[in-house]
Amino acid sequence: MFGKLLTKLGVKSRKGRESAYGYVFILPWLVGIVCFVLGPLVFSFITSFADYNMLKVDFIGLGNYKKMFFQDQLFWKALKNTLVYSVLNIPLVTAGGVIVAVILNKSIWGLRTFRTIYYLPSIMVGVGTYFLWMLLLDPANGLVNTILGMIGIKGPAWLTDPNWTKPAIILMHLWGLGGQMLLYLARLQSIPQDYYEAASLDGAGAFKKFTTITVPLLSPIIFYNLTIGIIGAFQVFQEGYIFSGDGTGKPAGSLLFYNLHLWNQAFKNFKTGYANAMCWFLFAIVMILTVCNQKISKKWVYYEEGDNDD
Amino acid sequence: MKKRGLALLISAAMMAASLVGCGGKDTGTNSTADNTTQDSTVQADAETPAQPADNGEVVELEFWGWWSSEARKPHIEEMVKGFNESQSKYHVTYVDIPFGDIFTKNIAQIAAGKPCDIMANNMEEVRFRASQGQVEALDPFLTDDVKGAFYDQYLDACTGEDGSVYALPLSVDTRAIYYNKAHFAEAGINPEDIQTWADLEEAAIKLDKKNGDTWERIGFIPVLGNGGVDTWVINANSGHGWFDENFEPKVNTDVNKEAFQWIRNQIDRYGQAKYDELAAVFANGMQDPFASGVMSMLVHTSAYPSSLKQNAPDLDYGVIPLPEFKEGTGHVANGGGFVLEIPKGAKNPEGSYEFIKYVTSRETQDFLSTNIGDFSARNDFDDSTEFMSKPLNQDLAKCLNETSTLVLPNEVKGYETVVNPFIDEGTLGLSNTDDALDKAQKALVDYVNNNK
Repeated sequence: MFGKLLTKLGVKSRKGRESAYGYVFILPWLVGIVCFVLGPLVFSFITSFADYNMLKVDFIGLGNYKKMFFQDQLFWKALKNTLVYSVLNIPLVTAGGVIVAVILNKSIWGLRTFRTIYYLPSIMVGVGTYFLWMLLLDPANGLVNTILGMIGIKGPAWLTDPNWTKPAIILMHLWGLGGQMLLYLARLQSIPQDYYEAASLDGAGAFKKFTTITVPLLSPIIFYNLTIGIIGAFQVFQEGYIFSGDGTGKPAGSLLFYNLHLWNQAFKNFKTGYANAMCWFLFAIVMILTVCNQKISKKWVYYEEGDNDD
Repeated sequence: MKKRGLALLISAAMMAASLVGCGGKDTGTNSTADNTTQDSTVQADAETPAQPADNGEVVELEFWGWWSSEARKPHIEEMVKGFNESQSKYHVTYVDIPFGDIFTKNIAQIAAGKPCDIMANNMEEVRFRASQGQVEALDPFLTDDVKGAFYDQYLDACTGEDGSVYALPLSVDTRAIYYNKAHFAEAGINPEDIQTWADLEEAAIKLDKKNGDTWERIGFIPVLGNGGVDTWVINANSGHGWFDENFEPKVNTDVNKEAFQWIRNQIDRYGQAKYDELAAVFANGMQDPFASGVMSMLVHTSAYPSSLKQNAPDLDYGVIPLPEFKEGTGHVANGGGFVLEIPKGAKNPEGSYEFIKYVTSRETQDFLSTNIGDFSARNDFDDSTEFMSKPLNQDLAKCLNETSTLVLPNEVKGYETVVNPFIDEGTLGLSNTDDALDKAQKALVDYVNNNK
């Protein structure tokens, strides 16, 4: 049917027809992005220059951006909270993922069971997990502090003490690193054992092999996880929204993340234009970090095929 | 190259076609909307025994709320059914949407021009929503007898800055101190003797039980349950919180400093660790230390008995008003409530109003209160109603009489986010209470100036 249509339209060459089919296949995605992403994107950019409350639009030029940088008392605080969280969270989760994957790549007893156990948390998403962690982190009766108590450490009031709320969230994320681990594991399985054998013959120890064979060969995956991790860390929202109970980022504003502040502006105070401006600033930060990450990656990411220049 | 261009053209054409397809669907929906009355007539006839009115048309209306529990939803539905059977012009359907979603959905629907017909919402922000153009004024339908049936302070909370009424109160609440009767009897305390903060502290100390280093029973911690530092500050200032009567920031006054220090002393008696532990228990909601007898007194809202009914049906408890800061300052508590309003752009405001009027009538309010346990804002809701004939409800009603439902000006909306972190520092023992209030004062002044 479509073939006949192409013939009528004069698309006869194999290449032309393949391209036509290609476009047909990506069409649903194109429609999706134009209708549901590009439209709102342009709209949010335009309204970031307006006093917009979802019902009326009054253009105020750079007013929202000016307010953001110079007047909003919580803007820098929210940004700082998010940065602190990102700086702690990204390396820990990435390193944790690599380490767990390397351990689970060895032939140890109950390997499949361990892999399943580590992967399981990453399919348990949603609000339920947060409530589960509120119980696990309970200062008096929670599992985490009970275990710490067994080894003689008096655990902190994780979600009540503002100094411990971010570590609590990071702990929760470390529990859910199975998704990353799976990607590393897949890559590890494809590293030829010859490399390690050759290294052994040359007298390399386990650590040397890890740093000179495993890490370089894993680096494309690490790079991918790092990029996704940076974007994800800057989008942290649910943790603050749910753990603070009322969405104000308590205790003592320690869980007021950038996106939570943004959400409050958009849906509680109905300063949607301002929230849109915040969105674009966040976009700029993430974009700059991603580009930098991409540039720096050339120095440390190793592509086996030698395709190291894009 | 030419072929590629052609392929692009085909794709573009197909995409345009699909977009038109989407558009077509929209048009279809619109035309359905235009014919709502006609369609709904058929639907309503099928669903309810209501007879069509003179012109033969029944208008379908949607009522949005968040009550989905077995304890509430069946009663709300029964009330809606009651309305549908009471007249023949309108047919209301109750739609429950989770509390976390309903308000964003509501605003999205208003922005899209297709809101629900009747919306439940909070009372504190009616004025704010009115200023944002999110609600329809009720003035064209409101009669004096309906208006006069509510206590002034609640009707005032439902009135916009332009003087128009934008909502009617569905239910109101207050705060009180719940106490364990057995603990009081054991410690020899007469609840009526607790008149001032000093009395309260004295009672709490009598109720405390400590075994070695372990607290077995906690007499009272003012900022657990449903009370915050603001509850006590409002009490101490006879109704005003962090602002004075002219809405000027007054956070670090001598009264507030004394009040906050008193709160701090109550926490210090048990130690920060015990407070953190209990605060976490309340936050995760898995246990209720008052229901389980760990705490002897607790500040909570007037809706608390319905949760105690489920969690601790055998608990023997009573209720006392918040004591006075100093003699004569009043037993003031902070409270709020919920309202029913018509979202901007609702298709049949007259019908929506008829429903709101029905729900806020004395008879329906008594039905709701008796079954759900909420208090009414009506001034004729006296002891002759079934709900108010119960002694506990009478005690709570006394607290309700001294409740401040202060509605703040729209300019200071969202101020809690700058004040509360500093107050938290004081409550959590991270900074001296006086310093915490000084920092909060500065933050609030800046906030007010920035929002001018």
